[in-house]
Amino acid sequence: MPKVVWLKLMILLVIVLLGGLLRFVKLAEHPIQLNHDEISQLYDAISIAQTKKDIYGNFLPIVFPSFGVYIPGHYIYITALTSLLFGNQELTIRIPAALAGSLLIVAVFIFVYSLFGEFKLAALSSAMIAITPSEIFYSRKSFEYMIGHCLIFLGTALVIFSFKNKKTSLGFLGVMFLGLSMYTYAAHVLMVPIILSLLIYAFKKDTNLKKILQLIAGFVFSLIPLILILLLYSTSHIRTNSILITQDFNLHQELLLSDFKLKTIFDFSFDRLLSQLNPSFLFSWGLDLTSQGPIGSGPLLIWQLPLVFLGFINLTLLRNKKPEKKFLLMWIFASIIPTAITFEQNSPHRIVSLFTLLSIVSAIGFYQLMKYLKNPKVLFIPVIILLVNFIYFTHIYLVNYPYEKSWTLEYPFKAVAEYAWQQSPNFEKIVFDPTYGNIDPQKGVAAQYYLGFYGHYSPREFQKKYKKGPGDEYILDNISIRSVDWTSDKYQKKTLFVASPWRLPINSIPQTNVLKTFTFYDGEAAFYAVGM
Amino acid sequence: MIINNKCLWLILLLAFFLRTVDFSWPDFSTDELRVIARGHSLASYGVDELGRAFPLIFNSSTDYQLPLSSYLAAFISFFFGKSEIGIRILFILIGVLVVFCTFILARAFFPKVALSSALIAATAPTLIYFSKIPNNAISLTLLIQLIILTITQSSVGPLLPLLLILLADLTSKTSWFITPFLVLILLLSTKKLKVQNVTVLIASVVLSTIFFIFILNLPQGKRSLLENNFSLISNPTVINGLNTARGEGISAGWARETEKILFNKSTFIFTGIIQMLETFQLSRLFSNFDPANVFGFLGLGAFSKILIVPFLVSLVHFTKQKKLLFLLGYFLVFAYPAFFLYPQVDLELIVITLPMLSILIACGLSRLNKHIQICVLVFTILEILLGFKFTPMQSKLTSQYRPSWIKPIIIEAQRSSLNQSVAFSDKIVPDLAPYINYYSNKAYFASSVDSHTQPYKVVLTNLGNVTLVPSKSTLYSCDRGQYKTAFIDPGMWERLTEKGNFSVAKQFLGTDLKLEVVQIKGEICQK
Repeated sequence: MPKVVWLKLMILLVIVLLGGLLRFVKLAEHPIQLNHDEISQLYDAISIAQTKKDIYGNFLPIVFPSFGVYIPGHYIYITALTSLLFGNQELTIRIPAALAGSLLIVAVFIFVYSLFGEFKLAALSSAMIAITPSEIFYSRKSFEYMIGHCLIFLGTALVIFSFKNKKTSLGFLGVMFLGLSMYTYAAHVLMVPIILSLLIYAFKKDTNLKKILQLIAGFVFSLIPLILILLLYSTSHIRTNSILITQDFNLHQELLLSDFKLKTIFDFSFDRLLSQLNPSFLFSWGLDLTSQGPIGSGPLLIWQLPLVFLGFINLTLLRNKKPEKKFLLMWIFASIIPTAITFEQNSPHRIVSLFTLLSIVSAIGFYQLMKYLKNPKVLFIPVIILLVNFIYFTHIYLVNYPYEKSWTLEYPFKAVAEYAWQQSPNFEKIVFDPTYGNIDPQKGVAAQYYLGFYGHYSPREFQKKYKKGPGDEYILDNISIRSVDWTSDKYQKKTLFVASPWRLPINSIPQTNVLKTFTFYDGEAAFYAVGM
Repeated sequence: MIINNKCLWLILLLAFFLRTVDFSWPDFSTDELRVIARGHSLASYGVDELGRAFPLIFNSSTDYQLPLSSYLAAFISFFFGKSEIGIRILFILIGVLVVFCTFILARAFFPKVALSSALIAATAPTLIYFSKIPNNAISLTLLIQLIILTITQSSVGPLLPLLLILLADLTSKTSWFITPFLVLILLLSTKKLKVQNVTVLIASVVLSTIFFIFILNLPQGKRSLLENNFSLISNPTVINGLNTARGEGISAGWARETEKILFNKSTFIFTGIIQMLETFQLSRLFSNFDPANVFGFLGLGAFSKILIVPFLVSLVHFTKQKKLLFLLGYFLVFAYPAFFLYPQVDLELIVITLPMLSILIACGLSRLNKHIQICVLVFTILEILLGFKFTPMQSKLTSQYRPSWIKPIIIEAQRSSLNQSVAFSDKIVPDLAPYINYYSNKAYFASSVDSHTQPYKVVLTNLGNVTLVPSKSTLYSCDRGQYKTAFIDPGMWERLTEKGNFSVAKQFLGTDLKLEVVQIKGEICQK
């Protein structure tokens, strides 16, 4: 192999190693606790690995009921495999996404190289992906989106290669990857056909009808199991229906007054679509890591803002890359679509591909900047700024995020679960009310998973013993998960109550009965353990 | 040329039509009514609501107000009296003139797209909306267009542009920020650096400086500028955020020096830049101009949604040209006041850029296929016509900000106050005086305010027999009541003790059919 190729491979390896490092270092400690999605998927994965059933006793489900949200099972099955390698530890759930996030760096390299055929630009793009906040953030929080996300970039790159090099086999592999990605996340089901259509439209001059039909046939073939799943399993629709824009409260209010509902929905949806391009969302606070207004982190670094502008300008100036720039620009705008039809005002987790694409555009901007600033000494300045900006993100992620948003990670449910099991022999009954919150009360939805996992409870036993009680109560051994009503509960004997200040009038309870206080990461009281 | 003229007349007719359809919508807000009532007061009695004779600067409940709109309202009042028709027609005419000037401007710089630019401006929902209510933004838009036209025309001497700059400076503080830079960039881009134009430039700088000095010399002038034009500095969000982030870092064991490097005053610069871009974000331009639905058509941006396509085409096109630099320059001139405005968004800044943006969009439109162009324009017109179908719904949604339901209440309150004292909850509307001054046949002046002073935020509470009572206060029945009747908000009605001792004279519903006001009668005392 020529020396130059070795050098290029080494550069890529260094970038991937850097990205991998940022995704894997202290992965178990940051984020500071497994959130409800992670804990539920982890415990279900362990349950699948040990019993071939989820914790509710469903045999190898395609869609997991989880805590009532019906999530696709691919991430759980992959975690079940990793649990065989890494055991039943917290880290196990985070490994697949971190790995996919690291592989995305390679996928983006291949994608950009397939588009522009320039090593420097492709390497710069992958380096940008390695340090982009949204990529790091979602790779470290066991986000099931990441695997499909990686497959999409890889599949797209292969299809582009096949168009350019007239190799149908690569195209087939590409559409298979694209098809496979649709099994992993609802947003991908919507986006992948759009991406494939854009690819065919942009590169129509590089291919012919026969080849297009072959690719479409391959793509449809890869989707047959998915179509069957959608047709045969009614539960697979529940999740999708529950997150549609029609569930939005504000839209609901407008619809009550509207005589022309279709237009109201369209207007609302279109506004949501364009709102995702709001600069402060993208560069200032979009990841919602703090409560300090502009002092936070967007999905992209603030320093990427001028680079994105420069990148767009240079992209439009490219004269000999018409299909490539057309495809990239169209994909950027199309990538916002999933959030336009879902109920949250900002749902960055559904548009990670937008951030990836904008990072690529910022890399194009940086590439041009490198060309303008031929003197390496001058180039040193933007690199230093980039570095400082990255350290700023690291600070926000490692320090401010846990301080200010620990409640979004269900912190301190782990400590509560461990304490409940520790106290279990000392009380006849333990009542855990998972309603908690920093500003408003909200219900922790995955208390049973925290109890199961941190109690080292055998999933087989859990399937047998976890039962529904009266009202909103669920029972596991002598631990009851239900709402606490202190006016009647205060008369209970030999009972340990673990509930938040929202439920317990803590000032009227004798201090001797307050056995322990569980705090959020910032030291504010989250739960009290009150023994009666 | 004849066809062009005919088309222009048709576009102006369309502009007039779109601004007169649903003539009485939207209802006026407190600030808008204040301008009308003040205009009537100036025209009839020669004094404003504080009893000052023809002052240069007025007051409201939020900020000082510059005089142009008020004196325009006074001028109209001579002819139409205190009527809705006069004031609406005035601003409709200004709005149509904005469309005409857009045509003239486009013809000067991009002759091929002059008509389509005018059509886009004529159908722009925000320009239509701002042509239907008394406001500074539309007047400033017209004045800025005229400044650009007069400076770029060789035949016009320096006096006319100077007069226009003076008028703009008397319209809105925004003008003080932008006119000097606007003149500068006009001279640079048109390469007309002649002596007379440089005179205009210097004069515009001098005028802005004089006005800044003038306001800084007012007793609360510095505060007014800080709160309304430099909120980035006066708002504590950024500085509190920096301190919190640093404190958390130090608690976590990070070095103080590192904290200073990461969290320092450069954050103000980033925040300002983001705020500039945020003000002109795509969603405001093409999907929802005002998320509060108070200033704009419901579900519509500054332009029709479909126009985002030619807008983007135009941006791509301009990046290939050297004109891009000047385009960026113009953007910066209009956008930079937003830099200091975090966390507020000044809609006026967007409104004044809309004619220029219309031309930019028209340039993009001209690069599309003919059939697509026609489709885009048809969709544009259809969308705005459809927008009028939603005005009743919008009136319900903005019932609190634009309370048309207040009129019968004011008339009843004024009638009751002729021979007895009346209590009026201060929560019903933010500032009652403009409503009484506008809807009743009586005008109230603040007798307590010295005509030489310049108070900053003023809410009149002494309105003859009508007394504003705090919504949080408690009313109760007594032997010799302070008031014989009271107009109270639903919250107050809920808290009212001894409800049985009061007779409910009337209940008033809002546009959204929710209970807004309860009129009670009896011997009423307040504590």
